[in-house]
Amino acid sequence: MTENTNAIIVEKVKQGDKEAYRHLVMRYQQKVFQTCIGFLQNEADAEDLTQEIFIKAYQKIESFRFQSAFSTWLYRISVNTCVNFLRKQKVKRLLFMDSGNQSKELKGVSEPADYSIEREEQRRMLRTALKELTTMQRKVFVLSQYHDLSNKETAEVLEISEKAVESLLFRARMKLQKAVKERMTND
Amino acid sequence: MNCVEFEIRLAKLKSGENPGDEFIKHRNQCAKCTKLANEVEGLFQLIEVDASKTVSPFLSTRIMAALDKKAMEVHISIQKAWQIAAVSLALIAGFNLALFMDYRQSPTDADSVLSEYFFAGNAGMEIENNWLKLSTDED
Repeated sequence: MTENTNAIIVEKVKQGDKEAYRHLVMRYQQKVFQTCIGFLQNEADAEDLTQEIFIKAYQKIESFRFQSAFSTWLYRISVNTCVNFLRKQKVKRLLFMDSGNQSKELKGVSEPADYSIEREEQRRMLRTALKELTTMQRKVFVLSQYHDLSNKETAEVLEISEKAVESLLFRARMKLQKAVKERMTND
Repeated sequence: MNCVEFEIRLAKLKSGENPGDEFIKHRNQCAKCTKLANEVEGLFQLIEVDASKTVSPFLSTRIMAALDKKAMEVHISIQKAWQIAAVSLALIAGFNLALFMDYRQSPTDADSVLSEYFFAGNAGMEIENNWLKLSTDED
């Protein structure tokens, strides 16, 4: 599906053709879901948030003026929604000392039956390291590693320069390596 | 290449990219850096596994159903808003009508004076008449 096809579908949706939106959902749900997984590290939450993102995009589609590709616009909504979700979750935990989500988070993405303790330890470390990243570093890291976007595409989504993406990604990876080193020292 | 340079190169390394001879040489010589590189590789493999998770095949149906539900909610809330507006308007109109009717039925100032005089006079007259009547009877 090219951007031209997207534009035709978006026009149809703007005119009230809700069924046309299904094509966009089918086309982009996997990518949006990957972004959510990268931010939330939890499959169930990621699916719920994917749904929320598509509803939000549908409600805001009138404001889409074809100044960028539809996918860029959608990924921007995805990233911002994920960041807001994490902020709300953090506030909720602070206010209510809610441990429910934490335990859910530890469970993480469903694993094959033979996953090792080592793997679980790795996952925990990854989560801890991701939490250490700044919001921008995390955005860049998720779009680049989970979403598999190029630096140019990531720059377009986040409305920053490619150089900034490179720098943010480098710092994010350095922090990740630092977490690995700390774990190695503790072992 | 020393350990710091190795770490920097490792952080800049893209997936599938050739790291270069010096990097490989240092990796083979330094046990600490070998372990670090292996651990980091393990993490990126984990990320790949997570990123390859496929979305539920029912998600699109769920999304479309949620959109329909939202549209229905909006429709209902618009309907409710109209109902509330209609009831409010009816109440305001009724209140105003009552005020208007009351105004129409209320006597003018001249009427009030006349009726007060009439009733006051009548009352007096009645007492006077009765008294006169009584006194006539006595006679």
